[in-house]
This record gives sequence, C-alpha cells and structure tokens, in this order.
Amino acid sequence: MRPFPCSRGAAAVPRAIVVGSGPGGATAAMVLAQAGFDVTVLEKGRNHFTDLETPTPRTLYSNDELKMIRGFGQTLPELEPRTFRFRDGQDEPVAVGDVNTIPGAVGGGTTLWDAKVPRYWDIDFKKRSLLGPVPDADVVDWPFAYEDLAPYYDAAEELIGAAGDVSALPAFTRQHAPRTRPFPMPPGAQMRSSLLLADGARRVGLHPYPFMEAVNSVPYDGRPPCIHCGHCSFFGCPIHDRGSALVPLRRALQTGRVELLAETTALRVVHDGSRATGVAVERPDGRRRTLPANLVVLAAGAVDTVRLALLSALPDRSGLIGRGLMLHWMSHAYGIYLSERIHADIGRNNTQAIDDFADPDFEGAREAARETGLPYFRGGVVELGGTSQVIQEALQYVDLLELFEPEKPFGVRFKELMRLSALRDRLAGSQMIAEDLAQTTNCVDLDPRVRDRLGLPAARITYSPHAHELAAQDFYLPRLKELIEEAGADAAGAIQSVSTEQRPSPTGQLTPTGSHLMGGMRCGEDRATSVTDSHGRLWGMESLCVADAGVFPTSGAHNPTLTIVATAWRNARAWAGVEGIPALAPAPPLPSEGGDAPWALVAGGAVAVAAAAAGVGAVLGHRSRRADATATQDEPHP
Amino acid sequence: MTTVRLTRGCFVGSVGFLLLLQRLPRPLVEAAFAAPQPFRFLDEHQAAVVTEATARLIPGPRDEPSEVGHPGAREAGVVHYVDLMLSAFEDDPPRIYAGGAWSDRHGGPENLMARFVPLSRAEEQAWRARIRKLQRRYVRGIAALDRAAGADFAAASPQKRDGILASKRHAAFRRLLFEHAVEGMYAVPEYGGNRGLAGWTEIGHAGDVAPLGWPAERVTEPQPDPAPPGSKLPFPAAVGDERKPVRKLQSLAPPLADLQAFLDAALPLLARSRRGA
Repeated sequence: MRPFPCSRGAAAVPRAIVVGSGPGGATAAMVLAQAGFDVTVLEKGRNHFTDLETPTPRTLYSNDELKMIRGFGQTLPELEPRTFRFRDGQDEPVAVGDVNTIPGAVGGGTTLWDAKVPRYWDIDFKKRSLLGPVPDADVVDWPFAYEDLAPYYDAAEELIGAAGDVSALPAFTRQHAPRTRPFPMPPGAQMRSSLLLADGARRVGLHPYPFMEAVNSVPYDGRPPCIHCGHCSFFGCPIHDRGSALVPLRRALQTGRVELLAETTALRVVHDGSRATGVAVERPDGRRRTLPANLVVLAAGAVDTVRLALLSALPDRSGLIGRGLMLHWMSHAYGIYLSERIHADIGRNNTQAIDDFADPDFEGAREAARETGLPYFRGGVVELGGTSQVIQEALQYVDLLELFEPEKPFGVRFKELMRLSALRDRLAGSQMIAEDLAQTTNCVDLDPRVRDRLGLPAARITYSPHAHELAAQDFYLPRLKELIEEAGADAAGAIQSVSTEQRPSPTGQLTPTGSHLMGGMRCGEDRATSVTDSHGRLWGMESLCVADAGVFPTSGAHNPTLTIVATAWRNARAWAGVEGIPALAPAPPLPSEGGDAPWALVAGGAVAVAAAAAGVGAVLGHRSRRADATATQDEPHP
Repeated sequence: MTTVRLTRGCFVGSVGFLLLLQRLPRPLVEAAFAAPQPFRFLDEHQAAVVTEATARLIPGPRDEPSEVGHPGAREAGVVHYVDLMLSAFEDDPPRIYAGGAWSDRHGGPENLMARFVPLSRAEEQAWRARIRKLQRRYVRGIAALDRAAGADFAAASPQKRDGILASKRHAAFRRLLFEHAVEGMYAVPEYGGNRGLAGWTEIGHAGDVAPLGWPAERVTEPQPDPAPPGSKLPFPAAVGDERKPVRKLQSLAPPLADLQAFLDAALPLLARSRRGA
C-alpha cells in the first residue's frame, strides 16, 4: 500500500485519524481539531447531508417509513453481517446478519436516534465501591467519578442542545446525577400518550418527569424547534431540530483542519506494536491506501471498534479486548385505549420517563434480589408513551390475522383493524432500558467463517444475560403493566424480552435487544484488568485511543449517548494535552425544587460552547499550538 | 402528458409540482403517476393476477360490499408499487430510496421525495440481488396461483381466489404479496402505490407531515375519535360526549372480541419491531 502523500514527517502538524463519525468520533474530532490537530474522520457509511458546516445541512432523511424499513442509512446485513451465539463452544451461530446493528452513515447512531439524553448516575461510575460485587459478573468502578464527568455533561448538553426541567426531576435522580446548571432549553410539548402513562405512574407511586431530550423546544444553535412530525426514533430528522453528532462534527469542520471521508472503511490500524502510525482504508472506488497519523481514535461503536482492534492485532496484554460486552435490555409494556385516539405517532416518540426502576433501593427490589441470590439488581429508565408507525402496524395485523383468523387471514378484517388502529393510534407503549452487568464471557471476536463484502471476518457476538437481568425484568415487568392499567388503558400487557438459551424470549427474537452497545475496550486504572487507561488510551499504545461506549466499564441504566459525548470530550482533551474544563455560557442558578424555572433567562443566555479550546496550551505534551485561533465561534444562539 | 391524468394522482392543485413534473424525464413521470400505464416488469397477465390477489388481501369498494367508500389495494395502485419495485433498476437512480427531506404535501416548496437517492456501489450490489430474488419469487408465485386456479387466477371467482390465497400451499407467496400490498397502501406515493393518498386517507393518517409538522397543542391535547364511516366496529363515543371507555368488549367484532387476548398476542410483535434507540 502506498502512503498517503500529505504527511511530511515529524515536523508536521500532528495528525489524527478518527474511525467513525458518530457522537464519540465527532466529539473527539472536534476537541482534537480545536486543539490544533489535522484530523481525518473516516466513515464507512454514506453521507446523506450536504453543507455540514452549517447548522441545518440539506438532508436526504425524510418522513418515509418504507425507506427506513429498506435500511436507508443503515448497514445492510448482507454486506456486513454479524453473527450471534449464546456461549463459547456453540459452533453454529444462532443468528447471522443484523445483530444489534447501529446506523452506518455520517452521524452514526445519532442519525436515527431518539435523542434521549439522561446522565448516568454516580453509582454507575463507582459501582463496585458503592454497590459491591455480584457473583459471576464483572462489577467494577470506572477510573473516574460522576463529579469528574459532570462538567462534560454540562458541556455536552449545551453543545447538542438538551431540553428538560431540572425542577421536575425526582429527588433521587438529582441525588444520583447532581446538576449545577439548568438544561439549555425547557421541555418541548408533552405527548398525550406520555402524559396518560405518567398519570398512571403517579397513581402507583412512581415519579415521572419530562424526559430530557436533545430536541429543540425553542430555536437553538441555529437550528429550529421541533415540528412534532412524529417520524422520530429510527427516522432521520428532516429539519435538524433534533441534535446529533452533526453538531460536534460541524465544530470540527469549521476549524478548517478536518477532512471527512465517507464511504471509507478502515481495514486495519497500522502499528509497530507500541505506536499506531496510520490506518489502512478502502475508498469508495475500491482502492486501498494507508493514511498516516500520530494518533488513531477508534469510535466505530463498541462492536466494530473491537472488530477493528482484532483485525489489526492490537496489543492485548490483559486479554480483555472484546470482553465485557454490554447491551441494554428493552423490556416492553403496552396499553390499548378504546376511549380515545391517543395519537402517540405525533410527537417525539415519547416525552415522559421514570427513573424509579433504575434505583437499586426501589421499594422491594433489595428483598427480591436476595430471594434470587443476588445482592441487588437494577432495572433502568422507563420511557413512557411510544407507538408503532403505520406500515409496522399493518404488518402486525398481517401476523395477528394468521393467529386469529387462520381460515382467511386477510380481507375486510384487516381493513377494520387498520381503521380501529388499536396498535398505533390507540396504543401507548413503554420500555425499560435495563442495566446489563458486564461478564467477561460476553464478548466480541472474529467469526471463523462468516465474512463481510470486503472478505474480512465478521464480528461474532457471544452473549448470554446474567441472572441479574432476568431477575430485574421479572420484578419490574408486572410493575410496568400495573402502571399502564392505572393509566386507564382498556387492555395492558408486558412481555419478557431477555432471552437465554434455556429461556428464549416469547418475542421469538433470540439476539439481544437494543442498539446500545457498550464495553469491549473497557477503561481502567489497572492494566491487568482493563484494555484502555483512565482516558481511553490503549494500554501499551498511547497513540491508539477509543472514543465510543466501548470504554464503558458498566452499562448504566440510562440511554448512553450523552455519556459517550461527555466521556469522549473529557478523554480527547487529555490526548491533546488540553487542560481545564470546557468553557460554558453563563447560566442562571438552578431553581429551587418546586420553584418556577427561569426558562426565558436560560434560553436567552445560551451561547455557543465551541470556545472550549480557548486558553488551551500544550498539544502532545510538547507543542504549543495556536489555541486562540482554534476557538470556533458560531453565530450566537437565538 | 396531460394534467387530466394527474387528477388521478396525489398532488392535485400543486402548481409547483406540475412545474417540477415538466422538468422530470418523461418516462419517470409516466411510470410514477400516469394511469393506466404499461407495466415494466410484470406482463399484462401477471399484473392482473397481482391486482386481483392483492384486492382480496386489502379489498376495496369493488371487492367487498362492506368497503364502499373505503379504497383498497386496487384503488391505491398496489400493483404499480409492486411493478415499480420489481423494475427499480430500470430508472437511474434506481427506485429504492425516495429522496428527502420532504415532499410538497405539507409545506415543502418542492417534492424532493420524487428524486430518488443514487445508490453506492455496495448498496447497488445488495439491492440488485434483493430485487432479482423478488422477481423470481413473483414469477413463480404468480404461476403457482394460476395453476391452482386452473389457468387464470385473475379470472377466478372471489371465493375461489380467497380459497387459494388462504391455503397453506400458497402461504409464503401470500405473505410476500400481503407485505408488499401493505407497503403499496401506506408508503409515501413516490414508490408508486398509495395513489391519491388512498391508503392514508382511508385510515385518517396524515403521512409525511414535514416540514409543516403539527402544532404543540396537537401533540398534547386529547383528540375526538370519529369512527371511520361505514365501519362495522362499535366505536366509542367521540371526545366531548362523556368519554367513558367502551368496556363491553364482547360486542366488538373478532378479533377484538377479547381485547386482552388480542393485545397478549400482539405483544411479541410489538416488542420485536421496536429494537430501541
């Protein structure tokens, strides 16, 4: 392979290659570019945007359900399959193809995400210290604490634009994820379905609150407020009211030091065993070349980052690369309303949540855990109020008619079901995003037989849930159902989603649910028990860093993206030698509990955060860079 | 091309769209919106079989007495959706992914969905293989329906067509047809189906509402619940007249006679289709 012609040796500006343009990669690219690096961002997927340096690029994403069903902006499984098995020694894969695939496109998972941005809790970062070990699980502490990440949470919320109401958060959420700043925006319009389920939650003694979302409720950062088009989760936002990795990517591109190469697949990291020197890539025309770099950042999502590490034979002194894969379990409950059309397909997928089930001290949880031989368990945040899209709904009736009307599973009955719309316009769903304990036996490695379109071995996921996940689900599912009954639904039901070899899920889906992929490149303070150091640098190869959820030592009990951004931000500043914490716009003091939120003040005071690099000093420990010039000031916020 | 033909389409009254149509290549416009039209992959007979089969799956006024006023697969042009899908690569860009960020139906100044997205080399390779496979399944499936009907499925009586479609022997092809009929009913009309927005109008669905969207009140407020005209199901009273839940479930037509059993059966499907995000 021919070296890329743009590097001229050690005297040049430091060059970084970031593999992946999702939230972690885009944030790392932003920090590095603002610190003076020349950065190349590699994205294997396509770029469905133009004018990425503007807040509202033109986009090809749209309110088109068929396009999403056909896999637009996603990794097509026949091109890049993954395999799944329950355990080591199971030679035949249980599934081949789409196994927890996340979108493969510029913007990564945030192109299609639901944009919920809760923080992890203090107990997530000090899990072993505060909650203790669990038999047969790998419960550890992070190498940093909630307080260390808090300034980056603030910065991440300001960067991508979070809408929420601190005064509405339950006391235990504020205690476990303490805040010193309000959300940059007030919550948006609350969905009818979410409010109904929130009422039910209150009736059973739970504590619903408007779920914090990276969706504009007011104009913010040059992007318009949400239009409630109802094509949210799994759809690309047509007007960019939904924040995404495009925001840090824009800041990165605006430095003039960042090159984005879409449809460019990283084949392997080039290294000499102790130093990463570049990345071998395949360009869209099929040509292969090697791009040189002083710093290589892996941010391809936990599974693909591990796959690339293994394809590159990166040093693995602890033998833990790929181990400790975690996947949030999505446990579902639903209610059907005959009294009204609750139109949960208008809005932002869901707008209320409860944190009660994420609390290991939830009433009865400790006792229930002990009965199953566990010291404790946790469920997770519960989203309240989603429903199906219309084609999805219709296909459910196609299935159901085969059950209910086997003699003639089509015809007028189908049309009556569509007109009644019990499974869309009258449906309110809820899902618990439950914590998954790390186990070293749950891992990503290379499949010995299945290969991708380029002939490279596919990622193989070996995964079985821990008793913790099953016990938590068994405990919380009836409570989810009760919540929905109390919300006035005419029928309520909950379903087990956790699937084991012995106890397959009644959904018929054996592969784990969810697109939240964590672990495999665990960070830690001890090189014997972690893959990367306390700032996500590969032990033994400091020029190789990880900027996605692969570094997470625990999975948390909340949606991970804000933590990905905050962690990547914190770590990338260390890689670039940037000191201090990100500069933030002045914010009013937090309202006292139950007080009025000063939203007008907040919205008026929001200012771009891009000056984070101002006052920055050393780069790579020895080179003083033009820090002032790296500060990118966007147009002021409205 | 005449504007008379367009009145059968879904963009009536949009001057902007008419201007756009004039700029588009003629074959593209005709393929999408003109009716009747030549089929591109299906021959006349195959098209008739697909039309008559999907009209049994999703019947309209000409197919079932109860569906007067309720368009079905025939009226929504499902056969054109199927034909355009099977001949997707006769257009450049191929008709796989409609464009974005919006159509001109709800405030978009221009129908950007009408311009399909060019595929990458890898996507094209994958989609050509997918379409080839579908083409084979259709040719075989249609021939099998014809054999079951004696010679011509399209000419068989509705009862006979129902019997064939309901038989185990044809379950796999019926399933494929039904999935595509659903897509042809409820997908954005740029894919060739959902003509005159028949599929959406029939169920009171607004479809692709961007960039106009919904006002905040519409997100939050309870909405009246008018029963679709002609519905055989006993619908609850509209919001405003004592909104008490209809709990006399026995009076609902099956399969909703037992709503709980219906939901219980639906749970795996609901959970499976939502992978979480």
